[in-house]
Amino acid sequence: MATRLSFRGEWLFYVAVGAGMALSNSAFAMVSGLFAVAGTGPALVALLVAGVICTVIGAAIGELASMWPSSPAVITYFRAAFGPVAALVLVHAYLLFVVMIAGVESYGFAMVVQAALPAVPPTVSIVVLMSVVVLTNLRGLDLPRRLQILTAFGTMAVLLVTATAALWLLPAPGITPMRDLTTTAAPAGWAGLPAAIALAIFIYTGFEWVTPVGLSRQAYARRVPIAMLVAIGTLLVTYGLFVAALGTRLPHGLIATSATPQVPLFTALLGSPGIALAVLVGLGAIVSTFNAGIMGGAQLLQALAREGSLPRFVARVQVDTGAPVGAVLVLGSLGLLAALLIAAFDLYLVVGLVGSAIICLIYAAYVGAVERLRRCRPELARPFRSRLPGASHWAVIVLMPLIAVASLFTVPAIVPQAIAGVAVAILLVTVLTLYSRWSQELAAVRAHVGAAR
Amino acid sequence: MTFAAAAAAQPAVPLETLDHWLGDFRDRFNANVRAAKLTAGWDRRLLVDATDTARSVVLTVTGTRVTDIRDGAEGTGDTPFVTLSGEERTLIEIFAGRYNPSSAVIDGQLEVYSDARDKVKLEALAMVIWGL
Repeated sequence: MATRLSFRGEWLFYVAVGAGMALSNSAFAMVSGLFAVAGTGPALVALLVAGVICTVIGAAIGELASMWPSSPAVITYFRAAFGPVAALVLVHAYLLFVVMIAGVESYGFAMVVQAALPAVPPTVSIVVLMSVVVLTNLRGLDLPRRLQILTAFGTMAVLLVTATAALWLLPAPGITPMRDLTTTAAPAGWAGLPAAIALAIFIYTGFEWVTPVGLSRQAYARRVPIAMLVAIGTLLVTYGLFVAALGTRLPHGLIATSATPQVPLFTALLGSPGIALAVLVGLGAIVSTFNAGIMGGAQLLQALAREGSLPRFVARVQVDTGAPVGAVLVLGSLGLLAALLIAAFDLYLVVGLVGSAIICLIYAAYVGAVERLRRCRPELARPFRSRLPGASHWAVIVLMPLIAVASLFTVPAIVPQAIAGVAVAILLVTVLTLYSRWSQELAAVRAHVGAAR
Repeated sequence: MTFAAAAAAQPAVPLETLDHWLGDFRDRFNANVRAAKLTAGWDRRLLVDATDTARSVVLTVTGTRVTDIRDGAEGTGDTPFVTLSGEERTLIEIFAGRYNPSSAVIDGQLEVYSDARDKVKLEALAMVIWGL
């Protein structure tokens, strides 16, 4: 049963949802990706630049959320701003990104489990994890708000304390921290900055998932938008310290080749109990990410199916709990498939780069929606309005697609896979959009015939 | 005056009003076996809030039945609130079963403030009550 939150509790809840979604195993894998494309200095700069970009995006999304409080965000905003077809393209791209996150998230957790229990193959961990997640969602179980706050802030606290302790206590591996901040042994050096920014944006992704969970209309005038920006700030500090600790206290190659950079850091700091802590943090990340992620994604899928944009079975519900069984099974199965493919072919960096490219375009579309709606629908009430200059909006709209494209060409060894991944993504989104259009027209004809009878 | 004549003399609730369709919703809800199964252990107050006319009506769901409909935002007891907010015309269309609430949410015409689990229940209720 829902628990009532105090005023302060409500603020904490919104920050916890936004930050909790971004404190994920997939984000840890992308931190390691930062070191695969750049050195410590560029990685920190990328985090800062991505934080600034996400602040512009967060303020823009806050404005959209205040116009349509409690709506399922992505589809409502894009439909209002760009019309039904463009909205379908963007929503399918977003859902594809959610599947990719589910895949990288499961893979990242499986890697942590393997560090603790080397005998357990990643595929087993992935199958067990996804089964538990799907069953939990099918039972209609929901993480209580207070536990959600505890999980998100607990995970953040562990990262902050361990990173600070590592910087304080661990010796640097043969170089001074300040020197390492200005040099790099990474393959692309500073040239890897665009890819690092794209990956860093992936790291922040999820802050916007707070928009559908506001507890009242009034919350959208200030609390939800501001909480989103606070979440971005806390993530910048947390991941900034984490990246600085990794980059200055562990060998570069070790971080760049591991999808679980927190494991070597915690182990270096605490010895073997560090692995147990890494598993705990991994679990906390899974709980906060999958709780909102799978259910939020499933509700979006269900809504699309109910309006005829996806097959009817996707809209099926569990009789006793009302859980969206069809959507959860579809999303869970696709997430499982993505995770198994990532594990089988070691694709986490490729998926990370393709996913980053997709989310860069989606975020550019959010900001574009704000600008378009200010021109086309100036009469709509905007209880929260982004005070940032319009030039910052246009900078994001132009820069994000450029960063998305540049990121695909940063790591020469995986450029063919990244391009192939983008091609597959474009094909999937095109097929899904065409199917949705055909299905919507069919549903409209059926409704017309039914009404005539 | 006979009972039938007295009943006929009662002022009827006009057909296209929120009151009429909330009453219709209550009758459909209480007669629906699947709705009863779905709401087992789910006691809630549904606050129906018309943003343009400032009308607020509370439907109380207790023991798998809609037990009370009353004006105002208070309702009865400590049962948690689920708030459904929109223009009165939109709310009428939704409770008349002519506007899919899921589409209304996507269109930004209906706002729902509740836990994720409550939203899931409401989606499912719309499916079993109106077949939407």
